[in-house]
Amino acid sequence: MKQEVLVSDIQKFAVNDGPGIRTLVFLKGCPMRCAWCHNPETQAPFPEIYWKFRLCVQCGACMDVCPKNAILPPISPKDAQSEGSAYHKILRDKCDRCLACVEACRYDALTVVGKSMTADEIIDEVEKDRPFYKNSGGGLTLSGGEPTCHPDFAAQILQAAKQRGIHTCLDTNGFCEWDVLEKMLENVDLALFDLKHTDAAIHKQHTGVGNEKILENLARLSETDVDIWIRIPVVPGFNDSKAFHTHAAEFLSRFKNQISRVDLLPFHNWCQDKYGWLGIDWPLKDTEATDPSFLEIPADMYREKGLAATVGGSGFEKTAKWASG
Amino acid sequence: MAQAALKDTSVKEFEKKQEWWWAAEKKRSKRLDYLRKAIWKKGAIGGLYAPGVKVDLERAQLHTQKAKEMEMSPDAYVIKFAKMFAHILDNKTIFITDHAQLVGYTGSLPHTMGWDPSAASILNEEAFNDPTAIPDPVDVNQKVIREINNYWIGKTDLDKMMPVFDMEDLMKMLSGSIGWGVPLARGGYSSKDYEYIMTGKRAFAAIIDELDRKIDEVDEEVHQPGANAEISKAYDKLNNWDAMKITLEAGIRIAKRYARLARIIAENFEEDPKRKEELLKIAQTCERVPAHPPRNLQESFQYDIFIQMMSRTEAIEGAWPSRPDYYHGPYYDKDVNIDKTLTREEALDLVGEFIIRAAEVCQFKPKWTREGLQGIDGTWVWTIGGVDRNGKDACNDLTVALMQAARLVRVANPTLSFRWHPKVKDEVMREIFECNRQGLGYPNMRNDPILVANTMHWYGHPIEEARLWANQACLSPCPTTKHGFQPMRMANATANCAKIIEYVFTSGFDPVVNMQVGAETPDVATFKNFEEFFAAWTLQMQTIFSILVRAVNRARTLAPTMTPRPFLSGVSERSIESGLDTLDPSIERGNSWITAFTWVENVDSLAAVKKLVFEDKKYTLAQLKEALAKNWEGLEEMRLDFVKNAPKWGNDDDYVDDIMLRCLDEAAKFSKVLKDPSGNNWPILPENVSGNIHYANIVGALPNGRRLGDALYDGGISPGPGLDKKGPTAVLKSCGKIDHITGGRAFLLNQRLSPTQLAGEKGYQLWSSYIRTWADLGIDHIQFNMVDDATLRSAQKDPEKYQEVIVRVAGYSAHFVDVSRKTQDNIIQRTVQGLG
Amino acid sequence: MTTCKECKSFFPLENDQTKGDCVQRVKDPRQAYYQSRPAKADDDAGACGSFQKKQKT
Repeated sequence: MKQEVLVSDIQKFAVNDGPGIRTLVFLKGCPMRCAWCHNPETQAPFPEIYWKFRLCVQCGACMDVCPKNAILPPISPKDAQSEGSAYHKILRDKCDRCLACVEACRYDALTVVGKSMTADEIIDEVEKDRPFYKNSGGGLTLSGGEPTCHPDFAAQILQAAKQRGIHTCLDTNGFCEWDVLEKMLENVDLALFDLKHTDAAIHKQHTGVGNEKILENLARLSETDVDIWIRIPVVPGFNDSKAFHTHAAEFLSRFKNQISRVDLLPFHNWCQDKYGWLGIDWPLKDTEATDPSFLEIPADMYREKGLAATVGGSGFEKTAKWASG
Repeated sequence: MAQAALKDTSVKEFEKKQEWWWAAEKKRSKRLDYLRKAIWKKGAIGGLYAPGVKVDLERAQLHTQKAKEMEMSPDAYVIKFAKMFAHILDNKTIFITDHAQLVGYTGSLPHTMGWDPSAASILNEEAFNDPTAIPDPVDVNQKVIREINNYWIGKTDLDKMMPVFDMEDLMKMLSGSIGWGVPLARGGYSSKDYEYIMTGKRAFAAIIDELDRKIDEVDEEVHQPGANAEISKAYDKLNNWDAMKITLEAGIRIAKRYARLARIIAENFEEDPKRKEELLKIAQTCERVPAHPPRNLQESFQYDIFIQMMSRTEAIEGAWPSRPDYYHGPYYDKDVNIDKTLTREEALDLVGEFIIRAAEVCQFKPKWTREGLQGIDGTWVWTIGGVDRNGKDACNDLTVALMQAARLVRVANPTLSFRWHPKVKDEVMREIFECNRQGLGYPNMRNDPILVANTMHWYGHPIEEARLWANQACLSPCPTTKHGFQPMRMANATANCAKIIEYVFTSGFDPVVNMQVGAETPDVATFKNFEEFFAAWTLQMQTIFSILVRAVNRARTLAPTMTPRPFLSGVSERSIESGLDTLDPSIERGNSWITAFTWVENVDSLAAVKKLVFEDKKYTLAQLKEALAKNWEGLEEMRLDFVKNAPKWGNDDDYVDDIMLRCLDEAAKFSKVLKDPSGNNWPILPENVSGNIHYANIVGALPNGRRLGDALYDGGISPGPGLDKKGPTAVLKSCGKIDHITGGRAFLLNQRLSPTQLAGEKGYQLWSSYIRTWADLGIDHIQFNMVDDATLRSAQKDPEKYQEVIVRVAGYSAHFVDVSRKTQDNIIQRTVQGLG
Repeated sequence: MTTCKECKSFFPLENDQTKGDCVQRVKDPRQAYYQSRPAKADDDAGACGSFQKKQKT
């Protein structure tokens, strides 16, 4: 049997995840639990159920078919949809994700996140936008979740893409064994490498894991000939201080010959619906999105250290370094 | 906005906030600002004209007066017609607006709409029945209109034509279910022989000399010993030539009237020496053109305006085929770059005013036409860019100046259409991008290599002529050459294509108008497979197209004698040469097309039937037929199945995309069976203008899940709103599967892009790489609507604050606050593609 | 009878004084302009609301 992996989404016309117009493939499963994660549906390695409350007419069809009694009886749609309502259709601890309810729902209010796909199926989908890659310098960006969770499968996709002459980006949090990463690099043109925090304790507190392995992998990565773009999600209260940026800029400047760009990614809370659909209470839901222009000052701190920095990570922003390369 | 606040805010701040209309107001010259605000906006809103805009009674009276006077005259009709035309030009009120440098208007006064009472009694009745458009005092003028109308009953062009049509076809067409407009050569889209009149080689005086030579020559011939059929025909030619001459002479005279008025103002009223000088310049200009070829940019623009004014006095032209940079560009270059008689700023003022002179033009229209146009008077799409007859890049400084001026005057009509080709320079591409980024919604992009090939394929134009194309209406390229240009395209070859699929379920009976319109195909429930179903679809398509085309063909055949165009003939080389009216199909290569409104509904419906009925076998055709007849009532679950669980066009999915190709292939085959009176083909051109709104209550429930009353899709080959779930690249990929050369005449594609995505240099880089791929995919058209939802929502709530928000509504541009709420909702519903 | 030729707004043609133009200044809600209509010198201006006697020079 062909190996399959759960894909939460394949997003075309991605223009902020590596150069040009790209197709972004999200593999499900991630070893980290970042508090600000804007793709909560990609964390678990198994299929999950979205309950989209705005589409739910509270017909009760899902409850009728549920073998585990994991679905709450209907209430008035207005109450269920009201701001701050604690009502969530599915009792997650009882649910064994048999998906009978999804089958039963006629209103697309219950849907599955995570589609099992083979590497060939994925690459065929990526292939479809080839005409756009050629003109924009785009290609495939393999993301997640965390692609290194599926080392063989990810390597297979990357290799297939390279064989077809498609530019490849690996979007990774860097939290894996070096040999896992190394195995993939053969077919990676550009690594989008996350740097969340330089302080190990703070890193562990907010992501669930320490950063030692990550920093070490970055050091090793910088010794290869793979191009690197560092991605820093700037999260209020976590890594938005001057001290952090000073430290991070200092740290990254060590590898400045290998790092083509540093992308500061402003925090946003547009994912709060997804948390709601999954029935997860998201502590950051009331944190306001950061105005991208606020990050220009920290971006200058990286620039002063000889690093090309962007705010937002546009695939069309020609930084001095990128343009010359 | 309060004047004080406007004053205190800098252009930069407005630009930063993307308040382009305020930025433009600050940036443009005082003159342009005055002239822009002087426009009486005449596009009807929700079918109603704005307060203060009135039907022009003067022309109707002059026309009627002369017609009565000539009743007993023995002149041929074409001569009488020319004399009526001349009488109007000689006696109408003319005006010169303060600060204007260009003059000429179709109506008598700035707030009037031209009304030709000789065109159609149904139009005349609309004038009578629309008190808001009748000038004060309404009761008195209503009586005037009554008298005019009474005189014309039975005498108008349409009244005379009605009895000579196939009555069955006519009834079906006029039912309003499948067609649009009337088959009449007094109203429609007129291309022009710009190669003859706009290349500086000749103007009216030289043409009159040529006509005199022709007349003398033939007059002598017919009086030589002998008699034959040729000689009999010669008398008609002599009449035609005489009529052309009458109209051209009248054209020179009215220009002289403008010249005289300018001198009178300068000498008797004006005190400002600078303005005096300008008025004298206007006088000199109008003494020069249209009698003689222009010598500078102002004369060139003025010449063009006069030709348009006269042509629009002769007929109700609903489009504005032109190529301003190509024909006026050499004068711009001469004045600005070589002689340096104009600074760039001065030239920009003239260019802006040239756009304004078109923006103010309006001819009174029936309400159903107004509803279909939503906020504009016609689809006036000016064509720019492209190549010359040798394939060389034709972009020039005026191409750029037109786009810069468009950003300063920000009118919804005319719009610009750019002929993209691989040799267009980056600086020109940046101007196109800037116009779109600033929310103008134009220029749209046309794929020149594809369309040149398309024009050759369908009508056999030689490549040198095909390269000289301008849009005849919204989207159909037509060479501006001797035998290439089409003098009249009647709007009624416009098919409401959603009826094709609807009629498969009703065996051609139309429940809305309660008559048998389509083919009597077998009961849909009896079809055993998709092939049988598709065969019925094909027959309905052929039936509807034939009904519309037969009427247009008949009208075009009769047009030279029943609705002649002596003025348009007088500026057409082929008529000067042959003595035949320019509408005579025998001297034209043809450019006929069927506008296919509401086309994509067929594709999504066929896919849904194929999938859910014939493959998944979830429903029978009998069930579906009943569901549609009941307008899905009580069957919401079933309806949603058809919406959600059948593949939809625009997602790069071969299942449904192949059905699109198959439908187009059937239509293309039939396009070659249908012939126009020039012997040429009738390819289809999917687009909607605002027909998707107009037809909402005329098209019944459809298998794509649509209910009666729901707005139809946006149009052309754009996917249904919200149904393009895979984003803009997938839409382009789907559209790129169509062969845009042999698959049809042209294919409208609307896409919304987000202004935040397209900000700055990176926005340009993104857009230009997108355009390169669009071109690689061989798609012939794309237009961008670059306004975000927040702006549109605010515009809906608070229209006064967003007077100038311009959005794209299928095929043309209209101000957002002007379109009906239904259209607004439709626009907002479209997915904001590419916005993170 | 009051005729057009006595009016300030009447401008006769140079080559034919019996014909001319009636030229008037108009301000509408959007713009100001001069309008011109053909008139004959001997046309009756008695009922004309815009009639203004020409000053003798």
